[in-house]
Amino acid sequence: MSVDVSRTLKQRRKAQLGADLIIPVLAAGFTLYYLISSFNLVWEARANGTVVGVTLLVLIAIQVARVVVQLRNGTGSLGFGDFAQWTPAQGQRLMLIAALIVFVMTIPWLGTTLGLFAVMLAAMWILGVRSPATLLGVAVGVSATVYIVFIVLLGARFPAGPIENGLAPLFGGGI
Amino acid sequence: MGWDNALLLSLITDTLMLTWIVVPAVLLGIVVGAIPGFSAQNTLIILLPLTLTMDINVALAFMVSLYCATHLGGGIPAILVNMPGTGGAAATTLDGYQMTLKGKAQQALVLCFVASTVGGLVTSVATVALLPYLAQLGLYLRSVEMVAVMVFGLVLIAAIAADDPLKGIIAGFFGLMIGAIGTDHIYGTPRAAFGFLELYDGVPLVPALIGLFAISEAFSMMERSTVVPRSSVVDTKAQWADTLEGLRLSLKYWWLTIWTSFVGLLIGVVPGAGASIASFVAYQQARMFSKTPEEFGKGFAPGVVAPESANNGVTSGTLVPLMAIGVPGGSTAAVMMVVLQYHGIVLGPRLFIESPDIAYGIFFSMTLSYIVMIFTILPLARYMSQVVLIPTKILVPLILSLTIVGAFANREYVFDMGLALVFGVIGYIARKTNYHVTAILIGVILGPLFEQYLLRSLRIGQGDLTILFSSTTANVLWAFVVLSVLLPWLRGKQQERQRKNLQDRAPTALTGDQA
Repeated sequence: MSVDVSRTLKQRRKAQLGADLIIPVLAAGFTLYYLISSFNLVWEARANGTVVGVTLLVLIAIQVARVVVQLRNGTGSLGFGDFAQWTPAQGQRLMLIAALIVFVMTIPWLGTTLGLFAVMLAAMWILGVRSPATLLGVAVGVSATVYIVFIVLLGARFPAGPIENGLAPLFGGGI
Repeated sequence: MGWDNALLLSLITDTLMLTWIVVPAVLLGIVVGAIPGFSAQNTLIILLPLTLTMDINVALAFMVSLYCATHLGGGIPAILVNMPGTGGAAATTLDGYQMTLKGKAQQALVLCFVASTVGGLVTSVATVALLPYLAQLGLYLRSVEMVAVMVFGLVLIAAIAADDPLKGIIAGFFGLMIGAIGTDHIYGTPRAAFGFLELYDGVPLVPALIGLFAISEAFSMMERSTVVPRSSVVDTKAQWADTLEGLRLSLKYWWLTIWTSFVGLLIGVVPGAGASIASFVAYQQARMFSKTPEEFGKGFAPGVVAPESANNGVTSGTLVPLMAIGVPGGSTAAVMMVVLQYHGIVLGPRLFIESPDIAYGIFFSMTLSYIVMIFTILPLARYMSQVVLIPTKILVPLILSLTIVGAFANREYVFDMGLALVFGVIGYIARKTNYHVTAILIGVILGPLFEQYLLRSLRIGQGDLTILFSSTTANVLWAFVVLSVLLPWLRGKQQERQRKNLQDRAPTALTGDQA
């Protein structure tokens, strides 16, 4: 029993090196895409990508070598730490990202004001706000402020939807 | 090269007559500066139809005041929510946010405001006096030196801010690589644009800024119920005593404020090397000359004073190459250039002879805006620190939705909103794994400029990379780059050795005692 506990503690204490490699893998992948896709271009178009990309790949190789050394020394594991753990915050984060994607995809039709209202409502609900007064008050307040300050007063050309178009004869700011 | 008394008097009176436009511009600037992503150039672009209709002196006073105030405003969210309102306030998060976590948000804000206004005021007055000489500095830096300056800036950020310099440098070069997306400068061939037409002009900076800082921070913030730990919530309540303590500390570090503002001024003169680099260089210099360098990064007052003073020092410097040689020192200066050209003003050395009222007037307006800021911001400081008390379940949706909408404002592409989200996810992963997000952002900002200068150097050297080591100034800068990498590494090794020695001695001493 005590052996199991100490083994678990040791594993926890180890650096989670798998997570440390996410950014280098992304960077290396993007660099290779850049270098391959610009391979047939004239040297002037490739020069910057090659100088920066090769330097970046060398730096990433050094980082990978460091990880290998740590793995060999037994001071790290290829675990992903917090990223692989399913926590309530992780679930909320993913739901928020989904809500934001829907917001971005629907804003050309819903318009800024209605879209903001909906995404504020959804995001607060996801994060645990249940009071109808808070939900409606904050969502209406934020979307109305953005509409009045940015669309009506500053004339920012944010995406227009039913609300902007409906109020355009009164305040302007529609399509 | 002395001053004409009649011109001086007319400049002062003309500037004072512009107070009516400076006051609202300062207030608006502070508000938009405090909203991450809704920066000066964004606001100026939105307000372009308004500024184009104004008289040129009024338009310039408005733009300059708003620009300076955003630099001050950018420090507010940097201190309160670890989210710089502008790129130049990124270094302020290092100690500013730590002060907030210690319940000293109010003091940090006052330090930020005083350093910003005094730093900006001192450098704008100094610029007026030194303008004809300062304009020469930009002429000594050619493309080869500019490549070295940019690499030096990136490496400095990695060495200063990141816990792990290698991770910091990887982050910086990853940013440079992202900054290389888009069509090339000579033939207009698209590179690594993933087939998106929206990326042909390169990666837009506003979505990158919003994603890497605001969205990623919001994703991290939601793991806590309030911005600051509950234990320190009581301490963050604004008290007049904290404001006075902040003022006392500001007076204590008056010399630091002055010299770091000049660091900002000098860096600001270099086109492209703006507030972000200046604030980090000032931070590093302040740490280097400090008697207690180990206190930096733990909520140390000079860690707020140095970057804030420097990023406001930049505001004067960045306008020098614009007025003197017609090269905008930053994106906001570029917007101003559009307005000046619209009014038929030809920028360059002759501007000081043909239109001295505009050439010098812009710096007089800047001086006035900093004076206005002193009187408007300090009384507000008490109430601004209350932001940290907002529950994150309200604050996170607010930040996410407003900043994503802000990403749309610059180019009016829905695509940019999605791009901000992508950068948000990259930024969140980078934060969690200690790859410094600021280094990524600086890389993205410098990417296109870096390519421009690198390509110019390579064309001069007919494709030979050794051209980069052909000038003495550049070689000195390269030596600094190597030192910036080696010194933290050697210092780390030395500290490790000392720690080992202490550990080795401790059991021996214990054994000796027992004996």
